[in-house]
Amino acid sequence: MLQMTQIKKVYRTELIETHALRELSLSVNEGEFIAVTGPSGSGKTTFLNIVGLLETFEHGTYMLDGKDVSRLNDDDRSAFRNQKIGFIFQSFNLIPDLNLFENIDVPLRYRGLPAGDRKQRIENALETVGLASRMRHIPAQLSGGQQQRVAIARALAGDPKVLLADEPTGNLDTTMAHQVMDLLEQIHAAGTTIVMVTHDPELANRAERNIHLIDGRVSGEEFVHSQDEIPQAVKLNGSEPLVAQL
Amino acid sequence: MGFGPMMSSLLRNKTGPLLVALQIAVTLAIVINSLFIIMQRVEKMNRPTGIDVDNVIVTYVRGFGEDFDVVSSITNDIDLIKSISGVVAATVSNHVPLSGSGSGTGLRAVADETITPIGVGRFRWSEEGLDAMGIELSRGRNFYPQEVNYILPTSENGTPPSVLITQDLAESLFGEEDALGKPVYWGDMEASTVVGIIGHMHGSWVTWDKLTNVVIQPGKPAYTTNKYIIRVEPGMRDELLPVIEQKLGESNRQRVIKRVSTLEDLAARSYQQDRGTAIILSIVISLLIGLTVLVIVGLSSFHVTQRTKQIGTRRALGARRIDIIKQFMLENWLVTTAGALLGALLTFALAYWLEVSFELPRLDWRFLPAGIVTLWVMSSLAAFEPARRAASVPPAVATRSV
Ligand SMILES: Nc1ncnc2c1ncn2[C@@H]1O[C@H](COP(=O)(O)OP(=O)(O)OP(=O)(O)O)[C@@H](O)[C@H]1O
Ligand SMILES: [Mg+2]
Repeated sequence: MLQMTQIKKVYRTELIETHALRELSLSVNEGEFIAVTGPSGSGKTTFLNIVGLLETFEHGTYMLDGKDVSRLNDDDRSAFRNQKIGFIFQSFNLIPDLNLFENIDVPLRYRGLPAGDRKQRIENALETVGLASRMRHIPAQLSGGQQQRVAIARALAGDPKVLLADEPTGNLDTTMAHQVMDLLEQIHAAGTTIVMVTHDPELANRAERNIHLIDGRVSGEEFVHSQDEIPQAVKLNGSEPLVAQL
Repeated sequence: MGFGPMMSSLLRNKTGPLLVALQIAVTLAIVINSLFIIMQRVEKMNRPTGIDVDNVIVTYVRGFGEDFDVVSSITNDIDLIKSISGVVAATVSNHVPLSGSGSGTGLRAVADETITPIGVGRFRWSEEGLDAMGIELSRGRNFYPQEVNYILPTSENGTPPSVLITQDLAESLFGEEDALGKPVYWGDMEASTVVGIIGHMHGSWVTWDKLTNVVIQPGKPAYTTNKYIIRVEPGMRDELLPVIEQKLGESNRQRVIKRVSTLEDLAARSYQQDRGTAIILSIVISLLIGLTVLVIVGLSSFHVTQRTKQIGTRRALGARRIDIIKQFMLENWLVTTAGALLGALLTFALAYWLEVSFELPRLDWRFLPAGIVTLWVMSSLAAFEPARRAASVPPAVATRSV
């Protein structure tokens, strides 16, 4: 699904250079659910931004869905994000002036889908997150947990190859955090690849694999679930979608 | 972003856009009406005068002393002026056209006191008068030299047998009929015969609606202050002006040269108010447009700053830079167009009020579409830089900002 080899990312300001990622290599198989953990400043968001083509990197190669995305231009990166990637942000990032329907419609319009198709997708996505009845509400009329579910619906409506989440439960209380986690697990179970950054070890444990970053490097990798749950063969070559095995 | 969501977004945050739309509406109404007034004034200032304004010099002289002989003074002065090489013709005249100072009277086509007389500007000059102003006689004849006598303030001059009138006056008096050879009646019911028709000329008062109604009597007014109208070869005016002043000054110590100026200057002074109005309105328009551009730039920039995270999110969700630019430009266009529609109503309301209260001519409606198109262009230019800045918000803002 995605392969990164020796990715480097340096932030330069006038005074200092920050090596946010140092020769990071990683591959994620289709259908995997990965949690990225690590101390603050270890490069988790940087990693996720590079995976999601929000930022460029300086060195190394990155293959996403079989395509070398290192040298895409800005417009192509936008199109790639739009079609292959679903984002879930810590602070939801819904557009406050738009109602739920219009919010979910945003990426679909950028894709240029016809109105009927968009409507169908929006309704399905809202159905999945259990908010179909709130379609005409604006985000401010929803709780944080509900807003994050709308954001998840927005990410899902475009049928992404991979769902990227940066601290998706960071702004939520425990109950809501669990609801959102349940939803992510459900989505994963339906076959979507998920990469999630989190501070919370308990949440990280619900993923299949944990990547631990320290100082811009993968310092440890741990398969959370038992070997019989996740067949080794799938992890190694990723030839079959994970869900097919479950 | 599509049109629908943008409308609902605008409607949920109306205050800023509404104020800008109002500002645009007021700007449109004031600018269009002001431009219309300016155009009127400019057109007025550029009306054909029928006079060779560019090549005419006017001299005001005044005699003094007990034994000052005004007739010989004028005769000598005119001869002296005509002896200067480059001078085409010269006359003494009771008034100077376009100068703002003149005399008026009423004329009738029939000797009937119950008929309202037609208002006219009245001039007296010699047989060289037409030539001295470059005025063209369209039909009939000029004065014969023997018809032209000195007119002293003390003497009884009687009614001149021959007059020249303008075509406009001829039509006012006689309508379709040919005025040539017909009598015209003065206030005392004495008659003069129309011997020549002037195609077109302006009288003294440029703001008068009967400016082109002019009657000319033969004569050399010999008052205390005498006005000489002198036409020179094209291009020689500025060179000859001081020469005329100097020669007149040297030739006769019994009168003072009060003023030597170009007819162009005198006419410009008459149009001072029109020019002033045009200039002030131009300044108002420029300031207003400048202010509106600033307001548009301000609101757009504010929206960009306010929505940095939203822009980053949109970029993350797949918006290209051009999509962001389009969004901001379209939004600005919507606000501008709403303002323009409101402005169209305001424009006509203001025009109607001006028309009724100040008797201004009716606004030419074509100014409105021209104004709206200009407004669109202007407001798009104003919004472009903020939109470009919006498009340069990096997509990583979506994950980096709180
Ligand atoms: N735009 C930037 N300019 C300069 N340095 C940056 C920039 N963005 C991130 N960094 C630096 O890069 C390093 C990695 O940052 P990153 O945001 O990836 O960490 P993180 O693991 O997500 O931390 P946290 O858990 O606090 O979110 C940090 O040292 C950070 O200060
Ligand atoms: Mg982070």
